[in-house]
Parts: sequence; C-alpha cells; structure tokens
Amino acid sequence: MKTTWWGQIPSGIYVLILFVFIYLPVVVLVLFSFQDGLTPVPPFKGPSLQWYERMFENRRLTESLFNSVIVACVSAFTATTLGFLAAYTLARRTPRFSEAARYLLMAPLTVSYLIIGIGLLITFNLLGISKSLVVVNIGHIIINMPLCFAIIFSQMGDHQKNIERAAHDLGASDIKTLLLITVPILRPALFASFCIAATLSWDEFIIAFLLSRFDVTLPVIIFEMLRAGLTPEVNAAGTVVFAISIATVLFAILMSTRRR
Amino acid sequence: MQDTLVELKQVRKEYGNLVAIHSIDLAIEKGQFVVLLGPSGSGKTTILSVLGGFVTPTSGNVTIAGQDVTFVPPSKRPTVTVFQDYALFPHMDVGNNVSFGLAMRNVAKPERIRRAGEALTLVGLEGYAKRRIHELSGGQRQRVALARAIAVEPSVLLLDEPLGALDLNLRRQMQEELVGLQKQLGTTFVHVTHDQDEAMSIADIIVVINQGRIEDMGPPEQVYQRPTTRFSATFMGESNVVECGIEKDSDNRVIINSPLGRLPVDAQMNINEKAHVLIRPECLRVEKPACEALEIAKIRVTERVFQGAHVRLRGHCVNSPDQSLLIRTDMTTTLREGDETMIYVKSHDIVILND
Repeated sequence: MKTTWWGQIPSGIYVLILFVFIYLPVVVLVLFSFQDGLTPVPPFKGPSLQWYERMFENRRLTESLFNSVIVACVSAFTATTLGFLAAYTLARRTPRFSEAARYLLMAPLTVSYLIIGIGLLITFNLLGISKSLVVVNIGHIIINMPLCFAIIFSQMGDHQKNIERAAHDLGASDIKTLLLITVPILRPALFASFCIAATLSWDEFIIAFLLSRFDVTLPVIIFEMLRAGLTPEVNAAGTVVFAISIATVLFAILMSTRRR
Repeated sequence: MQDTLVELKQVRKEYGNLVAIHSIDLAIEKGQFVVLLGPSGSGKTTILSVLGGFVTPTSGNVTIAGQDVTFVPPSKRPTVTVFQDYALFPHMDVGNNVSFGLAMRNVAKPERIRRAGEALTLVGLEGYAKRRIHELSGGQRQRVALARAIAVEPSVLLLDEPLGALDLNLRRQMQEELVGLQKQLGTTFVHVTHDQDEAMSIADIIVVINQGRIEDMGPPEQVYQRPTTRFSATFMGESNVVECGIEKDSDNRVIINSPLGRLPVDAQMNINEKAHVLIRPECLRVEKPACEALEIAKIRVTERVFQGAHVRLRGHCVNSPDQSLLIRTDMTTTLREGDETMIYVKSHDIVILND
C-alpha cells in the first residue's frame, strides 16, 4: 500500500497537536520569563533579561540553586551506589528470599512522594532530628534508590557473570573484581541511573518542602515566590530549572550514544 | 611415568534431586592433554567446574599437585579456565586483558607487559596489545582468552568447549594450534567437548562421560577401537552393535552367537552371559582379505552413499533381514543398491562390550 502525501496529513496534524499539548506550557513559561513588564501574562511585550538579572541578584534564590545542585548530586550518587550494591547482591549472590527482597526494594516506586514525605516528617520528629538539607537528602535517596536499583538490576545480565568469574579465576579478590570489572562494565547503567536520580531530585518539591526549614532547594523557593504573587521572575527561575534538567538528560543521552 | 597432577576421589555433585555427577574417580597425569567427551547434559562441564573451583562437590575430594583444593576458591587454585563465551573484559584492551592475572599477582608493570607480549606471540597475536576487544573476530577473541589464561602459567588449563562458536575450518586450525601450544608449554590441559572428532584429534587421553558417570577412558585409539561400553562405542563414531550370547567350543574358546552367525573370538567371557559385539564399519570387508578372515553374513545392499574418500553402504542380512549393517569401503567399489555380497571381518576387529 502506497501512502500519498495528503494521506499523511491527518497523522501529521495529530503529531503536531500532541507536541503542542506537551510543550505549550513550557514554551509559555520560557517565553514570559523574557517579558518586559510586571506580569507574565499576554500580551508579550518584547524580550528583556531584566527578570533574570533580578533573579541572580536574589541571594536566597541563588543560595537555593546551589543547595539544589548539592542535594541532587549527593542524593543521586548515594542512591546509585546503594542501588548498585543491592542489584549486585541480588543478581550475583542470589541470597535466600531474593525475589521477595527485589519486590520490597522496588515497591516504594508506587508510593506517592506526599506519603513518603509525611512518613519521614513524623519519623524524624520522633527521633528528634530537626529539618535540614541533610534530611531532604535522605528523603531523596529513599525515593530514588528503588529506581536506581531497577535500572541497574535490569542491566546485570548473565553474560557478565562469566566475565566476573574469569576475573576471580585469574586471582582477583571480590572487591577488586567489583571495582575493576563489574563497575566499569556497568558504567553506562550507573551513569544513566545517576542522571535520572539527579534530575528527579532537582525537580522534587513535596519532600523538599516538608523536610527543609532555613536552607531550602530551588523548587521550594519558587513555590514561596509564587505565593507572593505571579511575576516573570518565577518564570525565569522555572526556565533555569527546566534548562538544567534538559541539559542533564541531553548530556546523558550524548554520553551513552558516544560509547557505542 | 606415573606423575598424577589432578585427582578426583569419589566426587559427587547433586543439585536438589538431580545428580549431576555420580561419585567419580579420575586421575590426570602431568603434561597430558585430557578431553572430557560426552553429550550435552552429561556432567562434563560440571566436572570441569569442580576442577576450576566454581562448583563445590556435594561429597568427595579434589587434589591438585598433592594439595586438597576441594574448598579452595578459583582465585587461589593453580587452574585457569578458558570459558565457552571467552569472558574477555570488554572495557580493557587486549594487552590489559592478557596481563590482568599478572596484575592481580602484583607483578611489576614492565614484567607484565613483557609476559603478556610473550603470551600473545604464543597464540599468534603479536602486536595486538593495543587493540580493543570489540575490534577482534571470534577466532582472535578465542586466542586472547587463551593468552590471558596461559600468561599466569597455571599448572592446569581448563577449556570449556572453547571452539564451539567457531566455524569448521577455524575449529580445525585451532585444534592443531591447541595441541601445538600444549606440547610447547607442557601444561596439563583439560578440555571439554561434545565433538568426538575433535576429541580424537587433540586428546592424549579421552574420558567418555555419560549421565554423570565415566563410561570409558584411555588414549583415542583404545577408546575408538576397544571401547568398554556400548555408550562409548556408539558415541565415538559410527558402529555396528549386535546383541549376542556367549558359548564355548570344545577347546574352551569363546564363541559369540549372534544374528551374524557363530564367531570365535579371543576373549575371556563366561558362558550364558549376555553381551553386545561391536564391529566398526571400516572393519567390515566386501572382499575376502588376504589374511585370515571370518565370513559373517551375506547381505543385500539397500543404501549407497558417496562420501568423498569412501563409500558408505547399508545392507541387510539375507538370512535375517531385520539385521542391518553399516560398511565403509573404498570408493572403487562397484556394489550398487540391490546387489548381494558376502561380508568378511578379521577376528580381532570384533569387540565384545559388557552389558
């Protein structure tokens, strides 16, 4: 069956509508961050960088940006490390009840962040630990570890088993095999896991909002700014968040395709 | 020269209810090229894994060079395994793959590079040290796996069907090279395969394994010409195996009574025992040989297959049509389907197999 060019018009329109639906909010957000006026609402009054200037002069906002970067990196690194160790143990050592352990490890993926956040809030309260960025970090590790585990576990193929056996056979200790063979072979999966965890932590609001007090992350600041009123400065901050997320994802894709 | 290097004593391995190895005893002499031959699922790879330390036997002992290594992990054994899938380290270049074992033994870097270079030269990959693994062909990867194993100078090299993934010509070539390498190094090789041609062309000693038991063991000529069991007779190449009874004549000579007739043989057997006789297809003659030979039966040729260097005939006995025989004769034979001919065999080519 040969399709003529006009036969493809309906599907073309469908695709167009789909992408407009997905990207219109982002486009609007980014567009009005360049608004030359006091409110981010139409009509668009010509491009201006004044709100970005305002934003970078805002000490609290730049501090929170820095906090967000730290939390994203530390929590993603920890979640990836823990997820890797769990995946390695369950895939290679197959302890008793490994199947049950696998499901238990991944189950938190289905629990909403709000529930986890409230649970953490109550738990830390009981333990007498006050709210801080460290606690936010712990929260982000808890929500991201199941995902990191799932990503890495799916990449621990059986064909790598013999490679690890060969390393043992040639005299490598367990720890040397892990560091010299398993980790380098899994590097793409570990890297993907880190990037995804970092992006999720970077965007995460509810847990960060519930568990932080004086030092806060960028999404929390944006929420505070929103409560004070809608200004293009919020758009500018949102654009920065979005840009960094996209940059991380693109970087991850670039790194994983370059190695093939 | 009885210089036993590897010894399995009553080694048994069970997986749940499944018995992979039934209490076997096996002694391997130093410097031998031993081939464990058997069909898939026979337990030959499990035996190799027991030797390599990847599988701990349920009971029994493994001794290598006088040391009990039953519970010694692979990294502490004087063995190295070449895996079926080669198991090369994909993120390292060829040189680092080959010198990995030396690095784990804390050999200094210049020494490591020198010895890795030597190992690569031995397998015909001189100058490949900087290549990446994914740039190599299957045969080259095979050689790198070999070089990586011999670089650490193990006392026993274990090979787990290493030629299985190669095409026929390359496999033949690698078989020759393996034999050459083994003779040059003097290392004991234990090689697992299901290919009896491969086993016969490379082994000093063939160990035939079936259903977790050692069926037969010996030099290839002995295992082929004088197999001790029916399994090893039929597994090692084509054969005619015929059920028979045992009788004795007035001189107390053993006579086998089979559908092929009553044949006197040189063997120590008791009367009324049940047995099978084996006659290899190339031992059956369609023309009476110059030396003394037995007439066994008149056959009618039912199938003639040209196989290059020889012709393979299938015939049925004229007197007992249920009995078919396989004959390998030279390509000049004029026999065609439907022809009848007398078949001869030399007495010493008849092998009696105990049931």
